Amino acid sequence: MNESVQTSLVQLLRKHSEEIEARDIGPADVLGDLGIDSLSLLSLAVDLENTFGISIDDADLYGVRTVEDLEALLLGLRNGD
Amino acid sequence: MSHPVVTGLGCVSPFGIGMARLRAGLTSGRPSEPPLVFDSAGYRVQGVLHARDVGLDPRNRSFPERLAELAFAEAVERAGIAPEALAPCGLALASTSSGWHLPDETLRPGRTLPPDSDTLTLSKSGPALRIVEKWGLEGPHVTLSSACASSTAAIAWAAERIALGDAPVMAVGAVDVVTEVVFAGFHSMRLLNATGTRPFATDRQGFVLSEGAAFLVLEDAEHARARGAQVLATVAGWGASSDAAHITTPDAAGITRSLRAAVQDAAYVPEDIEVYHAHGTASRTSDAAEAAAVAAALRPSGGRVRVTATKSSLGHTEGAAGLFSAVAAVDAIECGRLPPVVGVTEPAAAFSAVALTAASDAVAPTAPALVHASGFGGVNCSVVLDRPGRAPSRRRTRRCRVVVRIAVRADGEGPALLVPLADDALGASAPSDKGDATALERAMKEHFARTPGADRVTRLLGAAASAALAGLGHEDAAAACRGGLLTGTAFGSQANHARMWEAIRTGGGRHVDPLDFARSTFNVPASQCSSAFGIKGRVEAFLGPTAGVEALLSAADDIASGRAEVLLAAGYDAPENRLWRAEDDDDVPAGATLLAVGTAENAPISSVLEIVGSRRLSPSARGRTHAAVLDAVRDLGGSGGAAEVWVDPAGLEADAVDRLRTALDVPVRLLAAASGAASPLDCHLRAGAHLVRAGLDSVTVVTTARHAPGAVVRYGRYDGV
Repeated sequence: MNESVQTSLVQLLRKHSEEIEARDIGPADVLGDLGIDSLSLLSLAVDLENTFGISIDDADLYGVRTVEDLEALLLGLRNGD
Repeated sequence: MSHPVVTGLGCVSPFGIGMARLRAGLTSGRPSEPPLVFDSAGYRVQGVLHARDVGLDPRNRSFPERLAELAFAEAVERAGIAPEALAPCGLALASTSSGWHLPDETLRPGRTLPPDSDTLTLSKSGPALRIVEKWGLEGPHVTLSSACASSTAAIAWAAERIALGDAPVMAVGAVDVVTEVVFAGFHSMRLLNATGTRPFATDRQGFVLSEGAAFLVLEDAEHARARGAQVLATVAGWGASSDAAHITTPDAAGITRSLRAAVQDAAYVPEDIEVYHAHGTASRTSDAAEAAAVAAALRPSGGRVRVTATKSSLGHTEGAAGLFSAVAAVDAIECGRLPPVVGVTEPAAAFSAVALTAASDAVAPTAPALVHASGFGGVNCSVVLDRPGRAPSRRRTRRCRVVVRIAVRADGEGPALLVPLADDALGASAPSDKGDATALERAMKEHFARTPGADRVTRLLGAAASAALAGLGHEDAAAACRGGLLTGTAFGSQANHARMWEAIRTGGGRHVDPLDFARSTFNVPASQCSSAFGIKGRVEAFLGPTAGVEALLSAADDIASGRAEVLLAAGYDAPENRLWRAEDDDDVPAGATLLAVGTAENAPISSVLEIVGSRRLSPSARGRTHAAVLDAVRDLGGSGGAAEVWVDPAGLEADAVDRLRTALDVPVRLLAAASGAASPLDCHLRAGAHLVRAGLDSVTVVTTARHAPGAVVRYGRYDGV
């Protein structure tokens, strides 16, 4: 995993959920359990697009369930997949 | 017997001016186009549907009012009402986007305008006020903005004015236009589609943003008969609800409650509904919730109901969507042909109760028709339309006496305080723990902590609602949650709009945060409180400086006519949401004032303030308002007349108070409300407290404001008899 991507992602996840301020975030964590609901995920997607200069398709975003899914999506888009 | 019928309809749509163009367009649709009012090149989605052949460029600052005026004129002409005969007519107008078409003027905080500025064009109430002024309408008046459910709510409000005998004729309309703020907001929520809107389809992927204006003329059936007007349809009933769930994900149970309430109000059984005019945004979650609600509410024993959805051809006209559906439903009843769902033949397999209307379904029954709209916050309103000649099952009257059960004021400086109304012993105190104030407050804080959109006005309203529910006690608090929360606001949560526009200006539309969009609609503070406290009844947002008083009157009407046992009514505002001001405008204090009103029958003896009667006044215009005030005060006077009249003359002519003093044989006291929608309610409470303390029998309170409808309310002492 690209460390800088992971660090930025964790920072953004913390920004979008008060519930995860005080806990560690692992790759298998389900976003919903971290307090990222459907609306927060859309808000997070705006930040991700602007932070990483990418464009996330609706279908790809709807497939995201865990932190790991999100990392994979980001890396794929950054590598031009 | 008073009951509302439809005698006129008109519209301006992406298919052009008039109903004939709409009727043709609803069967064919048309391709979307790049927006003319901003550059959509940077977005994932580019297309919109502009209103066409209007004779005015969409960039023109008068565009929204032009659309509204054209639709109104067609509806009135169709009703056969001569312009000079329109004085008794009232107006309810829904809009979510008027004013935002000039974002650099309306959405950049801190602008101060010279006193002679044309502020109507910047205001959501502007199109309604222009129509009132141009055609001289003197009937009841309101502007509603409850997100995309605004215009079915406007129909319901106007139908109540007819049913309760407040006006013989009501124009009810809606206007919304394509703006970048709304486009960017829906874009950030991934609800937009570039090419088409496919409601209930398996591969549905959002909607095309659209614009237009639509109007109905509602009329008392007897009034229409007496003047020989052609009746096009009957308004058989309506229902409303709040999801009390998520701010943007619709909830099937909430929609079901709204549909059931409308069917019950019309005194039909679910299977009576022949056609359902869907909200149908083609959103994955919204259509699923709506389809489940249709199955539960309309075909509980199985089977399918015929469904049509105007958004498939027309796109999503935002707050005007419900009125376009209603106009299409009335037109279908008249011409005997349903508009099809364009481009979709089969619904998704899971939507087992949905039978989509095809172009070949020309002979399908067109009524009774149920028209539904939902909006952000989880606000729902549904209207039943039927054929002409369908008589209502029961007469609607103001049959119950209405008392103020409790009044609360929150200003954010400390705990919300009860306003003393019952007796001096109560004083301005913290609420009792009868309804478990601590638990309510904890529930609210936990909910708002999970809801990043809870801004200051939401928290103020929440503090007031929490204190009121605690003070009411468990049984009445439960009744209030069934009844609902009606609100008035002058400035809403527009700080969120300002952030959206700032993001667009500085970084581009793809920097807009969907959270700002979600919490920006005017009903969202009330909707978020409804979620925090489980308020599942009607939630509404009336707009303007006197809108808190309208919330109170609408709540009182719901109680008086037996729709609810207890309702919450509030006015709120905060200075950060007033993004521009006229040079002579006062400061806006942050605050929420909330009253719980209920039936007198079960009221505790401490409920001594009764709402004896009320009259709504058209917005002040052309120096005739003092006469309307005088008529209303005398009309409400009853045999004894009010002991005192308290007047806020802000919307009256300069010499109006002197003329009232000369004409009335009782003390006339002056009130001066601060800016914002809470202060006029504070004025009412001050007069009410005086009534109780001074031992008067009754006091009449007159609320007026510049560019706003007025109200005359007579309060009396309720002594349990």
